[in-house]
Amino acid sequence: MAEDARYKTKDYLDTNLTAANILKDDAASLAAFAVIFKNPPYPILKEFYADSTPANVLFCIGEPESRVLMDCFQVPYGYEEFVPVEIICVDKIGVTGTKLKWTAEKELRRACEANPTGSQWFVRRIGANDQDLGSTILYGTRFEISYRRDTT
Amino acid sequence: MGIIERQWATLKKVFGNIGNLEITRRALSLGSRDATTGWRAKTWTESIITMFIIDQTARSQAAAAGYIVRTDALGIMDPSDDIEVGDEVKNSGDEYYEVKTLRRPTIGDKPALYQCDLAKMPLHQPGITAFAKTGVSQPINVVCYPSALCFNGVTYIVFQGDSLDPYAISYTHSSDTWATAVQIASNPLGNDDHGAPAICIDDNDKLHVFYGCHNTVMKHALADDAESIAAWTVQADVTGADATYPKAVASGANIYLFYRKHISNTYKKFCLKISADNGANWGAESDIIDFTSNSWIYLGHTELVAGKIHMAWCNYNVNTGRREEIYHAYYNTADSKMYAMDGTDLGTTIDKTEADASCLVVDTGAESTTLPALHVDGSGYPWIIYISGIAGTATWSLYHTRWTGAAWTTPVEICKTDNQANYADFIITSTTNVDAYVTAKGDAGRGGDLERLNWDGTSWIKKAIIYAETFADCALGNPMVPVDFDSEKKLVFCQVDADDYDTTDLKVYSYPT
Repeated sequence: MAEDARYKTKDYLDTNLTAANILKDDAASLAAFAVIFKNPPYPILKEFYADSTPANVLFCIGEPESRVLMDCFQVPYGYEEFVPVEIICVDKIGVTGTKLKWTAEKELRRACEANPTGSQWFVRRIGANDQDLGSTILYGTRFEISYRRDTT
Repeated sequence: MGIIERQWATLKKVFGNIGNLEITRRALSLGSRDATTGWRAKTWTESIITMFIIDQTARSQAAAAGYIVRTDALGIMDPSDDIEVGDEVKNSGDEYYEVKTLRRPTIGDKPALYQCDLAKMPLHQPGITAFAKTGVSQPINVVCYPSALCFNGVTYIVFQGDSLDPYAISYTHSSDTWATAVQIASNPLGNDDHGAPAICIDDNDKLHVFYGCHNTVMKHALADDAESIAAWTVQADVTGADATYPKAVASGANIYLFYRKHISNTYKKFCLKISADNGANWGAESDIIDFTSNSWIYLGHTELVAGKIHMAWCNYNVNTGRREEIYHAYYNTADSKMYAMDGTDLGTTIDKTEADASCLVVDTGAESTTLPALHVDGSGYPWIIYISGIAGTATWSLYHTRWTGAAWTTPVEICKTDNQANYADFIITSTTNVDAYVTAKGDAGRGGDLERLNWDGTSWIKKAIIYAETFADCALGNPMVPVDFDSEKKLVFCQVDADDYDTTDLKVYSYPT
């Protein structure tokens, strides 16, 4: 059974994102981050204001698209998975959302640049997706991570 | 009084005539992350707030840029209560709503009434689902104890069904499945709900049920197979034709069976029989509480901890016609003697003089009481919840007291209720965290709303209305915590229509449902 592309992506990011590279405004304190599937069963803003270990920035993995890879005999030999990833954060004390968003984006790029092999990982920036929720601006940037895998 | 307070008081007056304004808030907290999804575990903390929930036609609306919500109702609440987006609210009919948006308007710098857009949660409002709908009179009758126990991941419950016959049902926690209810035997009592079944499980993992007596022979049925309710065999009678109110306690191969023995209409004492071989044979009857004439003993819960079977009781004074005083003692299984909590050796039988001197927990004075609930905390000290009030009126309160190691604490009122037969049970997590499940006020008369209150070490705070009579369409009562309960089934309770023996449609519930 094919592995859930979301989980594979989460595992990849959990493994390769380096906490020491995602810092708060003072460029010294670690910004708490987490890699999660998109659309958790609770308001996403709760993540930033949780009583215990609230997040400063989230890498949210959305529903993937997939393209079959065929050999010269038109037999599928693998798939290319396209997995949306959105970085989101908010302004908090010691955290400027736009700044942290860029810091996280740099780290995402670095992780993919430094670890392209194995399944051939690439990242593509889709665009900004900031949302004014009234009392809070939810800063977001959308990416698409793609990788190739065989049919198993 | 300010404008907001006046506005709020007016609204409460208007809406309070229409429905119950006490709403259970379930405050959302996020816990640890799931390894696969990264999502956090959700936990809920319940409390009671005052809110009007006004149903409206469901619609979707843009609450803010990029944030579309569906709403079914509007909640208006006092700004002195707190609430957050993502919380749930639950009305007394067990209908759940999620708080989708929250507006905290102000007039000047003063908070005005909060307004919430609420979305009904159709998959989250099963109501309190009955696991049986064939109960009679008092399907669970707390005078017979216990009605439920949990063993090896299965909760077993016994109740009075059609013709007042004892029935058993089981719930397997791992698979979230209920077995079909099984008739255990026939109840020889007719038009009398005092012969409710009491259950225990022996050293062979077989269930025993004692039932069918009211100043008559106590019946005994044994499950044919271990950890099974499928088939039962009626055993030889355990007592003479004078027994009532079985209280069954099992430990290893021993079964301790407490029951009231009828001597005359002015003299009823409590006795004990012990089986040392999983109920195959029974020893001689011994008197444990004997106040002699003009007395009927009403024993409440029994609980075995560290070789001591704790028990609490009250005394029906034939002369005054009232159930009076709360007493406590324990039976020491090591030497077969009764003891007071201060260590006083009371011998094999407690008489009235000894009880008043060493076992008296509460002197109810001119008020009446009835069977108390009892459990033992982690220090081995008993806690008791009992009712007290004026007989023949609707003025009753539930109280708690506990043994500190040196004395019984001054009773603290838990809540008011309106009938002597409105019972309670409770779960001790720690001395500063106790949940009481009470039959609170509801419609007039016996039974009421099932509510949960929590003791924080200082006071009792109402946390949730588990189920309201209004929605159950019948009086509710007789809450009982299963012995060795699992957190998925902390409580059983039932609809109550006492002394109606013709209707066989009363519902029996578990909580959480």
